[in-house]
Amino acid sequence: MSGRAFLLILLVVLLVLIGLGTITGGVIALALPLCVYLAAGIFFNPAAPKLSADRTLSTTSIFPGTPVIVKVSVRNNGAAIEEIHITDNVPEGLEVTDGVTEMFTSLASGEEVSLEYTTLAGRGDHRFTNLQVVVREGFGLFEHKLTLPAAHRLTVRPQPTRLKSIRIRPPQTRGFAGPIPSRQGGVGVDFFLVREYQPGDPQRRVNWKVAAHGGNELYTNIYEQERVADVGIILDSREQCYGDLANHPLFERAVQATASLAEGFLNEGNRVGLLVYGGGIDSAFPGVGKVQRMRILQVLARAHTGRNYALETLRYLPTRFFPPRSQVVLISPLVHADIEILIGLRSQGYSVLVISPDIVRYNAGTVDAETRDHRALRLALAERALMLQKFRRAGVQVIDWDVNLPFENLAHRYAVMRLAANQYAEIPS
Amino acid sequence: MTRALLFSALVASTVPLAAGYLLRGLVPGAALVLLLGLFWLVGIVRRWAWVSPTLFLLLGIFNALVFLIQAHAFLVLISLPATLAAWDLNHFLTRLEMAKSPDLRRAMENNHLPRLGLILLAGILPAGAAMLIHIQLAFVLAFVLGGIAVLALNQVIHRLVNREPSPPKHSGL
Repeated sequence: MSGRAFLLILLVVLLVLIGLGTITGGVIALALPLCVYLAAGIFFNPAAPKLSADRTLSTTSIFPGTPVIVKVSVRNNGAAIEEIHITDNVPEGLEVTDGVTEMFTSLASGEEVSLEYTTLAGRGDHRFTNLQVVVREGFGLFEHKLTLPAAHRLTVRPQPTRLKSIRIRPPQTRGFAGPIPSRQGGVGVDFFLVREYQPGDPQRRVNWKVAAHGGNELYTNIYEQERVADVGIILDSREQCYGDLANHPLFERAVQATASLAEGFLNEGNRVGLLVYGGGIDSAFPGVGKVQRMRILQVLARAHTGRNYALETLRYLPTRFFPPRSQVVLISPLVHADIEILIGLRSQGYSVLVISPDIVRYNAGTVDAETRDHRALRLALAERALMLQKFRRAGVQVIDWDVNLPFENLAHRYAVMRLAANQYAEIPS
Repeated sequence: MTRALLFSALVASTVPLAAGYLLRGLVPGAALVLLLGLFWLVGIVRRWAWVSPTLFLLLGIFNALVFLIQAHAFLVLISLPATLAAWDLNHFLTRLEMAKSPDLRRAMENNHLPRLGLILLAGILPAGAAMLIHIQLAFVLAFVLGGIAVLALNQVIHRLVNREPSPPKHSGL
């Protein structure tokens, strides 16, 4: 029963009571047209509707900016419906660019109607849920509200940009040829060491200059082998790292950078794993190839900042996720409490590279230059520089990313520049 | 079509009612009814959803009052069904605007308007008959009959509430 029916009944009761109170039959008679109207509403009130819904999407996994056509069909499996109001719940983060998300129509028995609209979505794992349906008789006195299940999922993956991979030098590499120096002598490009000549060494590898100084002995040049490695990428999604702000715009940049990094490492043949650590833990176990790329992008599509009191620090980082003595890349604005944990990772034998988006500069950029407190900004920058210095002293490679620069530029610089473990990693001016 | 009928129903609702008050010398009452009619009109134009039900209730009570002050029953027999029609058409108009297709709109109008006309006629006839035929009842009998009417209404409401279907079960995500 709708509010209209209630109002009608209320007026009927009022008229009857006034008629009774004043002993005036005419007033009670006035309620008759209302009663007839109500009776008509009851007569035309439809039985419980039997409806089914189906939703189809033109594609289910896309990059941002790709239009998606959503089609929702509602079929009437019961008696004819005089008025039906269908509303589709569009998930948050989706923008409808064309078409309609609600429909008001009548529906004959066995008839099917469709809603069709085009949406654009930002990165995310968007879930379509139910359709809201209201079925009414012609007077709008009685209505049935239904929720029809029509669930579907749209994954919008971040678009990785092609970039030169940042040079890394993990303590241990894998057995296959790749671009990473393996600290082992063998076939390679870069000179590694000189050893005494052994029968079978190719003649062109003999170091004649050293042999000339060493009497009758011959010496052979040995080159450094280049192999692929295990790379574990950790994306920090702790809300407190982003100024306690949910969905901080900086996080989007961090996700984008993670996608590009993962793509770069995978293209070089490395085994790459991803861990999103913050509101919860989401992961893509280490793997190689295109399938792994897809897995990583799926995880990144789901990533969002969150607060989890159990994961406030990196203390519960599941380090077993990454093979021992492998390369760990952490993308995080960092907080002071992380220093000890990263030192711990270093002591366990991991090579740690931190790419830290500069949240101080980013937040300062969002404030009007005239109203900005320059002393506070200087203090915050100094505090951040001090924190990064502590990381570097602990042997952690740190790339301080001023997000006003595109990540591709930054990656290009570090692809050219070899970053030693305990070397300062400032961007050359 | 519906809009024109709605404005006609508003006029038919307020003018006879105001005339009833005027005929009994209650000028402020007549002015108030006309003002309410105007306000309803503004509510339609400004799309204030709360105006229509509120004024339907108020004008319904005003109809009862004008009957009590011995105004001509004919006026009330026009005014109250017209008020009901205005209330119905106001709601119908909002639903009609939701329908995008002109064919659907035409079909809805063709379906609803004759039906409404018939129902109003079916309501006016017994009401008019009841006003014309006077039967003298003792107070106690009138009270008992009134009580029965209230109980019957209560039963109707109860049945209607029970008619509401239970929400359908659906699997969550």
